[in-house]
Amino acid sequence: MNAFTTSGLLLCFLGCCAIYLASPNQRWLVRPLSARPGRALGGILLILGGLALGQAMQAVTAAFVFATWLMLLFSLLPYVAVLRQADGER
Amino acid sequence: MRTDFVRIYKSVHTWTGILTGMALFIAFYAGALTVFKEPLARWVAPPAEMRPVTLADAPQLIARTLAEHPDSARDFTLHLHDAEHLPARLGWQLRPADGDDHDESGVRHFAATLDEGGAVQVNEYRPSELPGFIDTLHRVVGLPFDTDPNRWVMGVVAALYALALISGVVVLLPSLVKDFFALRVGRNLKRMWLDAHNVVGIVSLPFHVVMALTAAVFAFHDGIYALQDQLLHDGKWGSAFQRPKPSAAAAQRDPAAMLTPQALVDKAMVFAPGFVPSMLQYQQVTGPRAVVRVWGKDEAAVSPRARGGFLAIDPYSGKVMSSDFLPGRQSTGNLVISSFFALHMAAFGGSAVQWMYFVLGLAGAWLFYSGNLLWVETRRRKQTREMPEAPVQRRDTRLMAAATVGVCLGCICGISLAMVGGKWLYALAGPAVDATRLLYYAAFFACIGWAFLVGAARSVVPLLWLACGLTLAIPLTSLSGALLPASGLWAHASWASLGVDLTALAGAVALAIMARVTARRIAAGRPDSVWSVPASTTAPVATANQS
Repeated sequence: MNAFTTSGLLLCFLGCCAIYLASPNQRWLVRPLSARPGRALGGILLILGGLALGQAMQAVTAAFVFATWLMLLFSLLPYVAVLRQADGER
Repeated sequence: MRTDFVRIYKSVHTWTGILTGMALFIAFYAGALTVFKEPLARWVAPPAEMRPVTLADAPQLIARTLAEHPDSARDFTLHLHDAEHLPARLGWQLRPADGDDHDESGVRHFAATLDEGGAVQVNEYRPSELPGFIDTLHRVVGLPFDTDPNRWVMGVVAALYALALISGVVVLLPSLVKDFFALRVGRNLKRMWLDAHNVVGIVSLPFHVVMALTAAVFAFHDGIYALQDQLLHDGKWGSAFQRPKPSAAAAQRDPAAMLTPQALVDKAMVFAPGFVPSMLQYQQVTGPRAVVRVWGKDEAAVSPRARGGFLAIDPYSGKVMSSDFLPGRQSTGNLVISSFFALHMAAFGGSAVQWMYFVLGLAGAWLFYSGNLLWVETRRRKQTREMPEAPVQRRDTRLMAAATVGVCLGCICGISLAMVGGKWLYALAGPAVDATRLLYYAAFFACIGWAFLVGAARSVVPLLWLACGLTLAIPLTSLSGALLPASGLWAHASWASLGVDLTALAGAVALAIMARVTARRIAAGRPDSVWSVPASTTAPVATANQS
């Protein structure tokens, strides 16, 4: 995996975390991040991540990787919160 | 949206989900493993006994093999890299003339190498059925053979799955924004399972839409092509793509005059710099239509097949004949079609995307499992304050809970047992015995039988521990091979093979956690549930409830 792919995936991960933490349904923090700044930050990080992926691969491939990575992260982030909660209660 | 509309869609979602959920669990669990079909093949393959040949010696190997085995000239493969499941650098297959395209059971496999004196040595071998069988489970929702009728079953399941996706989205629309990312774990179990189901379902919806549509097309593509041929091409579609037949006088060509494999690889890499060749597939090399397909992958591009794509080259002149299937060099039309294959088979973005698909596949299996649990929980008969004892739960929910536990955990147990058994049987009885299917279905039906016999509540924890134990046996079998090679077992040290062991270890840990959490829930859970085991009863639940 080249540096652009790695940084693209990392930026997308941070972007997804920011968007999740700005959601009123997030369970990581006691209070969610402010909605607008959180989503804006997440959006910017996702754009940067998408651009980095576009540098590493063809546009169609980058779009597919970007979408697949987002689906995976947004599916897992709420579950990670539940696991953290379960760990805390143990 | 009108509530009566939502109610209709909810009913459609419920019934399509219930009809297909368990079949789709098998398809997705086996599909997640199939993403790593090659590592599975490498893990289960016994150590190679044939002498390795360098790529520089490959021209002699090709020439001598063709001279002694002319039947290989039709289609043989030269592998560019060593791997545990490739017994020799050169190999070919002979398929029965009347066999199904997808049926591998009648295929004969041959491998060729050069001995120390330079003479060709050919072995017929039998590769493990394991990776192909797991793929078959994935393709035909748990049925044993990839045949036309079984694919049609898969097609119907895929169509119902698509319907379930559409209706599920409609049901969720009124609360989509409000409940996005919500996963509320608490005393309201129905809410918990609904959230657990919706989080995965709605966020990975595009992935599931692609899977449903492509699975339906894969299932019915032969029929679609035949219909297209009759309606659009007057039955002449096949002949339109045939190259003119060579004249009878066309001379046989001398394979010794072919470019060397290294020269063909160099030509492919100059043509497409990001392309990484993995093997050369030679076709009709002694005839006038000789062609070499240089197969490989390009992580930066979309591949038309799971194993990558290829550049077609004339092996005598080195002229590029076609790049229609070369990743990154396809026409827009071909790229659109290839994208459907690639999106189903994770044939883009390299190993990172394979891991993403693996987890999304497991998440998909969880989606169907949680859907069934939600169905059961929704129909729970609750104990009110006026009731001195917990009510007897509905028969349909008891049966559905038992079926869900039996089928889903039976699939996990069956695949793990087939993997472990593949190595142990080879060590004990040699290559003649391959009981992959027998082991899988023995475990699968035993789990289902046990779940129905004693009920979901009593069977789920032992079955989770059984799944954990069988999955843990995968790395332990390799460890036994490493520590006790005299036992006949083996362990490969490649990352691909170790990855299978480490993933199985992680899976066993996950199953152990699930078993402990489930046991805790059953011990401390509500008595008015199919997941409750009354402390006073010793008779099997199913029997007790029927009386």
